[in-house]
Amino acid sequence: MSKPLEVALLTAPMSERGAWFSTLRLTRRFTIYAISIFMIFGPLSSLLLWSVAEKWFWPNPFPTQWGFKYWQQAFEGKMLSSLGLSFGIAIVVSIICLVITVPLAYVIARNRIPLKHIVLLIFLLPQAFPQLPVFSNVMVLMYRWDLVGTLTGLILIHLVGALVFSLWTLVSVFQSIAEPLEEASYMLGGSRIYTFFHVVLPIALPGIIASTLLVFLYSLDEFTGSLLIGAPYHITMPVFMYNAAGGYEMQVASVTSVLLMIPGILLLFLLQKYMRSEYLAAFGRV
Amino acid sequence: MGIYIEGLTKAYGKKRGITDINIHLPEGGLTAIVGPSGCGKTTLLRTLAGFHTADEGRILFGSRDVTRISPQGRKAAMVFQHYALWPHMTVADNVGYGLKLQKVPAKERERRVREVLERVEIDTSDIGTRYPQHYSGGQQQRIALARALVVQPEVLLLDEPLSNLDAKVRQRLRIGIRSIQQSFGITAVYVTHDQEEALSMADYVILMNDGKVEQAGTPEEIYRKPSTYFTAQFLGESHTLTLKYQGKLQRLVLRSGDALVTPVVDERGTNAETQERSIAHEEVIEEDGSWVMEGEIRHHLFMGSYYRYMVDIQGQSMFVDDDRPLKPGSCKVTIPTEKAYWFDI
Repeated sequence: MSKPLEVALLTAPMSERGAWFSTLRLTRRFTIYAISIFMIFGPLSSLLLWSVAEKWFWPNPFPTQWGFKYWQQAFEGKMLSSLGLSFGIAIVVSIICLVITVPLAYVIARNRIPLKHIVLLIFLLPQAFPQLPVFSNVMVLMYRWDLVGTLTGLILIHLVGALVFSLWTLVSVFQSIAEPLEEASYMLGGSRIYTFFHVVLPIALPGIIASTLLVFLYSLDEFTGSLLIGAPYHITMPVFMYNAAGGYEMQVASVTSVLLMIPGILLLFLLQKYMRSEYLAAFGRV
Repeated sequence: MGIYIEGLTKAYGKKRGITDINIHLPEGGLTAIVGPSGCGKTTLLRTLAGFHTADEGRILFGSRDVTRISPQGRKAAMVFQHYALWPHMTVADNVGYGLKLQKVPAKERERRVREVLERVEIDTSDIGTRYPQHYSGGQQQRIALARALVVQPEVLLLDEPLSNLDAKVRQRLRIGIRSIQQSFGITAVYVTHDQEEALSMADYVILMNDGKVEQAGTPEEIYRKPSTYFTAQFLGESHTLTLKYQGKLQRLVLRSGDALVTPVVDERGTNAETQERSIAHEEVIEEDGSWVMEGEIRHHLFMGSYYRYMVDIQGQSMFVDDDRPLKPGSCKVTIPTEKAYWFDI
């Protein structure tokens, strides 16, 4: 009969107690790792399995017929055009965001603007409510302007969310650049514009890249707005996947999500290289 | 080129700012602006640099009125507390930046960059490939100094350039900056909160308090002839004692190194520690050109080359430095009259 754990711990000699604790710690760590790996890769592995399963019926634990039929289908059918559309829109949205928010964020970061935080909050407002009612209301407006079902409408709806990410991160990026770095340039005769391009922009570049990657990923994965405004004329990847899953085409949906995941994972690795925690700090501050 | 500041006023925020500053900074000299934090010294420097525009008054660099001129057009250069070197440029590009803006040809630019870096004692062999981050704090500040000097500015502004460095480097760079400033013969304005730095480096010291000039003069003048209580207690290692003199309570400001302690010894030659204290004078008296007061040595600290005594005078304690080992007990404290200053309460 072994002693209860607490008693064992209290009565054991010091060295044994240490061993007990390290065993406990190892067990705990292993359990946490196992759970996290399962949580992260469990759904992913199921997606991967589904994407190569040509036949898979209950109650078989694994597909009965394997193959790349659906991958082939994917690359022959409409999915490819959806993929192209999603990437195209994400690129356009990223560029527009850059053009609008880089100067805007710089001005906000460098000037004492009255009610600065309120301006930034207004930008954040659409994100504070559930997406569906916000986008439904936008859709009503867009109907009035004949934008529903158009590429312009689709890009505009993506910008609603993308501008927020972009502006908030870029304001922090510019705020993290010490002002004397610019003042040193002014003292040597550098104009504001010259200084912006030769001092501020190069130093801000990693932050700008990080922010653009965030925007790109957001646009690539944006679903609600894309469904309401774009469908059925312009089907982005997430909408395509939704349609496929809705029609119980598990394989097509899996192939789509695997395809959507690849750029996401690649970009997240890039993001990790450029992102610094203080870029997100403004979400609570400013 | 001397700097003339006439009636300069700048309100800045709610409280901080400068009011009606009238001073002349001599040509080719190093003028230190010193004062406690929030006294307006940084506002004054930034107004000189052109980062703030004056509300009232004028700033003249020589005969040139620069009051309304942008920082770019003032022909002044600045050295910042945190160096402000650009991390994405090599040292050569950092120092050559101003010359590039002046469209100096590449060859001459390189020659001048090397020349100025040699004068601030930076090894120039790999300045084209090394970035500021690869250098120590003291070296970075010397590179920043080179970047400011290479454009041959009329005025050099230094904003607490040594506050970010450790004590040893700071001591060395004080001499370094001073000798470079003298060899260039440039008019320099040096802002610091460290009164020791101001006194030791400057030709001329401006002590500021609460947005106004409290006192200005050579380091010796301002240290030896403080005209206000604030000046007296701000400079040196000062102590303020509230003492009776000529039947009236007044404030006496004195410095640790200036006072002399003499133990009161009885007939047998021992220290009067065990005896009852007999106070000869209840107030400060003047005797042979010195202020004399009764006190008691309470504690002593061994400081290496000298001892520091905590002396109690009329219930108030102060430090007195002396190189003799003394025992605790009654003592007499004497200070030459010209080295201690009375102020009304």
